[in-house]
Amino acid sequence: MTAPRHSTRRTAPTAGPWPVLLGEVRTALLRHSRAVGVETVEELLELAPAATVRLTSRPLARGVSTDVVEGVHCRLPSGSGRRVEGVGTIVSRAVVTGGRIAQASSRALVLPATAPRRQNWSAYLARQGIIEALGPGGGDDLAAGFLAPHRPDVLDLGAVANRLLDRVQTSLLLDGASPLRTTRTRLRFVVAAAGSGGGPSTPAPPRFSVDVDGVRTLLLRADLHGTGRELDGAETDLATQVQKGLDLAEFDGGGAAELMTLCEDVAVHDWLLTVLQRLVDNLDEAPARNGRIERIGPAIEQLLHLWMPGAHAEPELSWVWSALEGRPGFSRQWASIVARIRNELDLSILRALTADGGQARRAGPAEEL
Amino acid sequence: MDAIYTESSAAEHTSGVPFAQVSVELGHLYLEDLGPTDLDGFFARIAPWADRPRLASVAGLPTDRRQRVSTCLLLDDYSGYTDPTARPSPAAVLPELLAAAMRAGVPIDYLARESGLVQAPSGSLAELVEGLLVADPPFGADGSRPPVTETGWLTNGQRSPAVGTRQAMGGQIVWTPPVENAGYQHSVFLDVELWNGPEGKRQWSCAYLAAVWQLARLGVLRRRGRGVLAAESVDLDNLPDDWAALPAVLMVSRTPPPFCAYRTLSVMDARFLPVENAVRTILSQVAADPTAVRQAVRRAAREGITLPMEIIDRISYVLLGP
Repeated sequence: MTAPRHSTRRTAPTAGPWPVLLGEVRTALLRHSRAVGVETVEELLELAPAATVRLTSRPLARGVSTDVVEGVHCRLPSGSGRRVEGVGTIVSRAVVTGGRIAQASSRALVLPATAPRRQNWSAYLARQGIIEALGPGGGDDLAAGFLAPHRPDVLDLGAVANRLLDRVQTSLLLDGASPLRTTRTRLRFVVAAAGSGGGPSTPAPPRFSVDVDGVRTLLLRADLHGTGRELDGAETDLATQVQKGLDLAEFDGGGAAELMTLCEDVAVHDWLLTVLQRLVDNLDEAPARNGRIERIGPAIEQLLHLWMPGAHAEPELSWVWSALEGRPGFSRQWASIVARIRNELDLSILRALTADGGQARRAGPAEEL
Repeated sequence: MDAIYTESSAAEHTSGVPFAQVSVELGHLYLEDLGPTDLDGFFARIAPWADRPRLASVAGLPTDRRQRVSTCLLLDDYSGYTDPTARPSPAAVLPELLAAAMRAGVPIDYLARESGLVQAPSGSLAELVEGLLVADPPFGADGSRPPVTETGWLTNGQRSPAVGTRQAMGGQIVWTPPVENAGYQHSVFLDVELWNGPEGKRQWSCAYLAAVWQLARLGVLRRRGRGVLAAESVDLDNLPDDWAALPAVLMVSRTPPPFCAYRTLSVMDARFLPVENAVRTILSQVAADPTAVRQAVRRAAREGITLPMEIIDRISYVLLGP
């Protein structure tokens, strides 16, 4: 494959606001027979020696790896099938929640290119987690393309996240034994820039969907502040130049890391719902009754206490959780599952008691003999 | 109302390092050069390029401002000399080296050993930097497969296919040119050897270690968020016989400005041009800790200095012909 030649004309986005944050989260049960401690989490997540693993203990233990950077130069998704190229970096990280749930997430903030053609690679590494779009099309077209079924040779964030999760899951620190059968879930998310309509307004409601192929999609409109775009242009006086350099340094990726945390949190809870719903749905399958408690047991021990929506989300993003609790109502479904499990437990205790009672009754007359 | 709750382990820790404005590298010498080289002549050629107006220009400062400039020299005790016992001892060469620089008016503040970049008590800097490499992607790198790398090599483009190998369908592969990824109309293709030798006995290339050296001087390397290289002062009257007994970076002047700097200037022989070009190819593919990179920009801004975010834009050279 040869590198494409870009024309020297300026790229002019035609529609839809920039920037757009694209991401994908993969969630799975950590391949280990029991929950791992904080030291193991730290060692598991030390994917690069430069930075530190971030650990939180309250309200729930959570470890976040350092960022892993990977370069891409490929076609970007496009809803209208336009040829738009992207050059830049994907930032990924691994997360372990409650010593039990493993996740990997990959993201990229997509902006229109600052130059009409590809720059030196160092320019992209200076802005990690940003992909520059070269070609026609706006943010809406990109988002539509990303949410459509994946096409080959187009940016594949899911594959990057999948590889990272594999890397964590195959660690020699883990014994590879899983106490219960679960699946690896996939959540895609798109955060589109909120309209620049001046002044705070009511945010558009988030959209959450479960697609036919099991892929979850979260669509948000949020304020992707300070995108760094406004920093381009020729300045002459020293003070302005210094300020410009400083602004570029202060650019924090448009709040992408905070949004990533939110999406990881949504993905954890969606995964918990998926795993436990499947478990209770399958309870009535043959062999009925036998081993029901044995099948629920590991989930009770390992997973029930991990339900804590919004525990690690930034307060300014709490509106997303509030909206998701309204509809589809994550916690409502969870409460229903937990109630079902409790009922099973109560019933099994009752059955055990009555079984004991039966034996006692049978034993009773024998004693009298 | 929600309480404000923080945990110190939840935040990323990236320690700051002290910065000079410019780190000037006063040439590059192999240990075997030390005997035959006329050190007075060597430093006399370099000294004029490290004068106040030139350093002000490199630093991006007005000429009348006070300068904070540290000088350094990297001695190559890593390559060369298959027989380590044939090497001159530190005591035999260092005092004269430092004196010659002093006589030329460019006293050396920090003296570094190239081996110290490979082996250090706190861990190898060469290996640390290897973990920071993010390869320049060719078109077609969409994330679906791991990045294609040739072990021990780093390129700025796509290599030619191996000529003469047979394709699956039977035809011979004909030569096609290599392509520079960021090339425009024409390519300047570079393929840099990072290391060779068997695993465990890896021999790092000169270009690779020079790239590590630039990163160390620019103060952008961290291990678990902490600084990686601390200069140590040594007793110059009681130098050891063995180079390995010396620290990686020796502080050889009294209370010099910091070793790390916003910008670096390397004054060296033009024969190092290909090596330095390779260094820039490597540095273009180093994803340095963004927090450390930003710390330098912020600190410089407080002094009225604009510092670029790109590491390679912080590096200047003077290349001298023979």
